[in-house]
Amino acid sequence: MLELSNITVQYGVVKAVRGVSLRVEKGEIVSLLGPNGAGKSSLVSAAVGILPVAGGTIRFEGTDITKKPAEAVVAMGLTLTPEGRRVFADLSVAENLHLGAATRKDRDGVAADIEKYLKMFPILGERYHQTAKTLSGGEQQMLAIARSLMSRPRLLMLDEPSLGLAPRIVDRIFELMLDLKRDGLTMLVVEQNATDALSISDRGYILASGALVYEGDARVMVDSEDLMEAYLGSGVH
Amino acid sequence: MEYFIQQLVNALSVGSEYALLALGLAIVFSIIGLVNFAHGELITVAGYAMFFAATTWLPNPWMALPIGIGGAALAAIVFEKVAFRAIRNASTNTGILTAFGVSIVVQNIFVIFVATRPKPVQTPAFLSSMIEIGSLTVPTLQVLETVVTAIAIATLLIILKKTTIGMAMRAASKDFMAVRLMGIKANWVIQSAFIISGLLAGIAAVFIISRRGAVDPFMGSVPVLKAFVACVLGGLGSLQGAVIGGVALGVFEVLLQVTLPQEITAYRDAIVFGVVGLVLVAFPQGLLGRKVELGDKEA
Repeated sequence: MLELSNITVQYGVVKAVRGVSLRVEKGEIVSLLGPNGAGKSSLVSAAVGILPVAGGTIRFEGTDITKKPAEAVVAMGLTLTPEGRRVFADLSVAENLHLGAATRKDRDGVAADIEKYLKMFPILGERYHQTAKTLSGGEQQMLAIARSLMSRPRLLMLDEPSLGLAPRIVDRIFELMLDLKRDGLTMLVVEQNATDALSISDRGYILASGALVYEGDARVMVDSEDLMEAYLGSGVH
Repeated sequence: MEYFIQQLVNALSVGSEYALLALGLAIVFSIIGLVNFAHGELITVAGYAMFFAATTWLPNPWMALPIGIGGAALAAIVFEKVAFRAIRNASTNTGILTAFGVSIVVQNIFVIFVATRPKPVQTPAFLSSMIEIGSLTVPTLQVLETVVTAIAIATLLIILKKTTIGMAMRAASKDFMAVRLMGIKANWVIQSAFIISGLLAGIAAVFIISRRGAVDPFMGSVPVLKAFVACVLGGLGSLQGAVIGGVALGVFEVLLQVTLPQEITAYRDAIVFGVVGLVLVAFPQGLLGRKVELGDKEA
């Protein structure tokens, strides 16, 4: 469904991502793991078209999107819930969700989806007319995810959805991703929280210093103590 | 009493003019961080559009008004496409220099192809009439300017609050990247901001030209400076700040004009800018500007 081939991302002369290839199949949850600064965020930002790609090709559902800008990629059904949530702080929850649906013309469908996500995230319903900046970190993360879903993506990339959240909220978010998977959504999850991410994933990739160092079955990875220790700091988080 | 009301109406109309212009500057600045010093030239373009329409085919002087406003909006689109799009990701300094460049080019186009001397522009006679209520006489133009400005600001508020593009513009002023992640085209948001700034400048231009009765190539330079001062006073990038700064500046100017002894009215602008300077010492971010500490993630 998503196929990154030999991707290089560069900031000036510094290569943040060096020739990484990765694929996500329909219906999967795939984890992209690695320490801080490994190039995970750069890779997904490049995939969605926010960062330019210095080399390699990106294909989404068979179409070459390497040179497409983010706004076009999102309209095609591939989107990113960015690191740090990036909700529109001065806009209300309602306005955030409406902007999430900016690519859609079906007003009724948008209204139905808002209803659906307010049911999925009841707290957003309670805070519907409040500005997003008044929400807690966990609530903002839920808003960010709901906002991404409003564009009806077929593949959602989530960049560090657990960052800075209490363990209870993290569990809630990972549960939610499993629900979304059951609904047929494909996901690529960037995480430092390796154990939790792998526990809901089908497959995993590990990046270190901009290069791919491991790829494999998620269950095998969780059980491999050597792997977790070598690249991910023994899974304590 | 009559004198007081007359001067109040006068002050509000000057304040409205500054608010319209400042709002146009602020909406562009809030989204792409560009201080568009070519904003004044939108007024000039509106003026010449009205002048050419009047001297060639215009059947009815009222039609000059939409032509002026449309001309300014069109010029704003052209400025963005031709000059500002290419330097979108460049530094603030590049933006300011480019804006001055656009301003100089436009001024000289009119110098070369029209004339340096002012050209007369006919506006509807109604606009230079007076409203009489009992013993009170106030210029229709001043009342209209205040009312139209209020309507324009209310309309803008509704657009910003209720429409997708309005929400996108508010969102883009804080986080453009996240707006693009919503699948919203950057060009669409930026162009809309320029169109709005052009329409606002066009409305202001109609009033400015009705008052002066003439256009000249450099007529935009003073208004844009006043608008910039109003923006800085209110807090650069804040739309409410631009309106408040504009009205405050206009009212203060008229107040000084009326109260200062004859001998020193020539120093009015110096006094105004001196006081604005003092205000900025007390509120370095402007009246409504938000203080951003170095290292804050959200700028």
